[in-house]
Amino acid sequence: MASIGERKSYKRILALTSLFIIGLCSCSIGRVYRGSEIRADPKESITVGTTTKAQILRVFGPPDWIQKQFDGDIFVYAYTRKNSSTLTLEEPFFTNITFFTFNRVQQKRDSLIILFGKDGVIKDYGYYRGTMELSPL
Amino acid sequence: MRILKVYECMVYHYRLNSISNGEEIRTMKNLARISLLASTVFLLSLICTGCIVGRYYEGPNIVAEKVKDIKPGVTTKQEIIEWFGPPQNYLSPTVFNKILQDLDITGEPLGTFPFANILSYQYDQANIRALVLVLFNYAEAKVKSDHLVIFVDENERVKYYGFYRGTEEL
Repeated sequence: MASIGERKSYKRILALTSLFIIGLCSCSIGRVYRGSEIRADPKESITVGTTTKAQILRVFGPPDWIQKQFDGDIFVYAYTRKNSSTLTLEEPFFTNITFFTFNRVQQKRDSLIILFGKDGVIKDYGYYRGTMELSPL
Repeated sequence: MRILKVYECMVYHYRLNSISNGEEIRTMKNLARISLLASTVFLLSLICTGCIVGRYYEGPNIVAEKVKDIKPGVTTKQEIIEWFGPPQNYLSPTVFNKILQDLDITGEPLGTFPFANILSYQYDQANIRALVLVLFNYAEAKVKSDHLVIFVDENERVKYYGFYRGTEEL
């Protein structure tokens, strides 16, 4: 049978170990959403050679970016999402030593680029849904 | 709860082994009480941690009722400036967009159109919330914009325009 002194020292060790394990690891999750999702499906709303700039503005709203070119404008619509997650193993109380850090940042973007001719009619467009590739953590 | 059970078991076993010694049992009971108190304080410190809520607004409010009055081919550039004020492409990029650019969240200057025939108005709203616990932190920022872009023709009349109220999504 263990003596009272031994039991007390076991308890101290147990308490200190519990505190140490609890303080050892921490997890952080961050989310940043910028802009609005693209409001319509470009495949259904855009017809190359027919759809005009006014129709695009009516359906998709104002673009996030416009670039002027010698043969017409370019409209850019963008919706950006940034997911970050961090796992840190550290001793935060006494030594403040970090043993291990895992950090993952995913930034994806839905983007629609529309090229207009000088007459304001669509010449071509490109659409990519990058935010679908984001993993939950 | 696990810590409590461990201490309960320890007290029970100790009682079995030294039931005759009442003083030792009392000491153990006191120890269990102190441990229970310490555990409660520790658990409370885990639960009662920070919660952060932030709101950020930038730019002039775009009055949706006035947007309905814009008539392509009729409304003049002068009227637009009277209704909505000076367009933002004549001002420096908005501070919040500058911060986002610096943080590399937006690669290009969103909502700035340095062209004479385009008038742009933008109202940004950012909702930020964070839960700060000892073992787990969660932060979320949503940035939405009301955006009005007006194209003006060579006669200084509205050619076409686009308006979207993104802040309603917040």
